[in-house]
Amino acid sequence: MKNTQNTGEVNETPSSSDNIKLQFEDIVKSFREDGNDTRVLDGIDLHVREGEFVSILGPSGSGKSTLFLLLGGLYRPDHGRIMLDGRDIAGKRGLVSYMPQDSAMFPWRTVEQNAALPLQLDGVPARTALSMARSALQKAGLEGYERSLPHQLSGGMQQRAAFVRALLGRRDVMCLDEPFAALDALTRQEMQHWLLNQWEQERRTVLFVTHSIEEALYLSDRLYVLSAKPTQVLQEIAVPFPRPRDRRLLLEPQFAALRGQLYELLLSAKEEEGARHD
Amino acid sequence: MYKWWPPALVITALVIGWQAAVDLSGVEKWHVPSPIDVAQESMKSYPQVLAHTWITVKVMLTGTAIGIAIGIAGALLLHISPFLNRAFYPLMILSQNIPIIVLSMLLIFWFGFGLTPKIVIIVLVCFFPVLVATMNGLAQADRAMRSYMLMTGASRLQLLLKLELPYSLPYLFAGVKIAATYSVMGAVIAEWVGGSQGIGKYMMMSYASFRMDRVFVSVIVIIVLSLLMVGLSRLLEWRFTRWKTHSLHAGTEGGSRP
Ligand SMILES: Nc1ncnc2c1ncn2[C@@H]1O[C@H](COP(=O)(O)OP(=O)(O)OP(=O)(O)O)[C@@H](O)[C@H]1O
Ligand SMILES: [Mg+2]
Repeated sequence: MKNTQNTGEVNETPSSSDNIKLQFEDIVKSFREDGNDTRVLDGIDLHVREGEFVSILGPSGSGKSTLFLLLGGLYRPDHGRIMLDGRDIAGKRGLVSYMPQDSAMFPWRTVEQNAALPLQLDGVPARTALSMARSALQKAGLEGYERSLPHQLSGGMQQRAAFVRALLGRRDVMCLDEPFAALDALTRQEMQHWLLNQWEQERRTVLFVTHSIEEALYLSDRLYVLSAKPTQVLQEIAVPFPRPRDRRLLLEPQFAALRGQLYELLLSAKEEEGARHD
Repeated sequence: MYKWWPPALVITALVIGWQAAVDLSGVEKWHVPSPIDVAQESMKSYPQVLAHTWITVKVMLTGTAIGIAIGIAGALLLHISPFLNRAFYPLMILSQNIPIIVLSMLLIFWFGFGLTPKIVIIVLVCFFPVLVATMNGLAQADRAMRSYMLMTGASRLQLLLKLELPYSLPYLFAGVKIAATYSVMGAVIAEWVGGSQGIGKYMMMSYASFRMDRVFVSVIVIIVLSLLMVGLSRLLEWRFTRWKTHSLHAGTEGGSRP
């Protein structure tokens, strides 16, 4: 039930070499709930190339966050391998940087202390870590808020700070789990644009989880559509739009066509799930 | 803002009522002293009272500080070691069921009338509320923050020092506030059973010599000490958990899973 599709002329950005950075191979994961096993991930295959921005698009509860927790070593897959730079890293922690679904800022740490946290965990002395955090925050447009506590920031600014914290993790792969899900539509658009700008400066390898079709199309080089639980990859899609991108992209007919196609796909996944429950 | 005037009003009314009752019923002063008698006596004997109080304060602060330190250290140990937790926790609960008066007598029998038994008693009454509250706080650490730490590669020690311990501070201070009130009682009882000095001893001596006015002076001193201890722990709480006072809103609570 998996088919790969190249929509239109594939846009050969410098990043889409064949240098595979990260690969999930036939990942199966079940959870034991009330005595019986529920299979959440049912053989997931996906990969991310060096410097590529890949999104995972799937219905709620399909196991997107679980994929990240597997990648981060918090869970172990029941079956399959997770390869980073050609090494199986299942169960190993601290190899990717991570931006959780809710920002998970530490309320007793100032914004700069929050951003410096991953550096400190790596053993960077506090003073160096803080000055690195400060300059990264300034670059991210958070100048003047370095000494604020997280709750003093708006939702959008908190997400920026959480993104800076993930950036400072200095890992090759960044995992962003629905970073903008909690924001209002306008802030969300603004943040997508901001993220794109930030990413284009560094071109880090990004794995991005979302359930917004537009967001996935606007941001990524490639995206995977997941089915509902038990989850498989429904489709892999190469996003053909050239970079740098901006908001006008949303008005293009090709964008609308792709969006419609993805919408149908997700809808059928949902219906299939509904049918199973009857 | 905390409204101070309703309790002040009640207390004033009580004092006036007490004075009126003593004046109108004509009981003798050595039997039931009036507030004015108590005030006069406290003016007369305050150098003596202060000297006793000062001794109590020193014992109390030392004992409380040690008790809190042991409570925190114990909580950390029991938190990181499930084995120690299972082994010692029932024992600790047991230790709290021994009447403190019996404990005081035993300790004084073994250690004599010096400072040691009194400090030990205060430590014993103080460590437990701190330990329980801190352990509770350590176990509560936000799931989302916890999985962030683990995903980022934090070691067990880093998890403890950078997440669990700071997260448990508000809980810890709830325990400290309880410990602070217990410590005054602990000190008074210890002095009562076997002291030669201190406000508890002063109270006992006054009682033995039928100086009820002095007993009341001691009671007032004990109340003031309790209030000061609670005030001190609130000050410490405010100092260490300032972030909490205004940030208890959405965005700091995490999901229900790692
Ligand atoms: N530790 C766990 N124990 C039991 N069930 C779990 C556990 N973790 C995840 N699940 C189940 O796995 C499924 C997928 O969860 P997950 O959080 O990965 O979904 P998601 O795709 O991230 O959803 P959302 O878009 O709502 O964030 C859910 O049905 C959930 O109930
Ligand atoms: Mg999720």
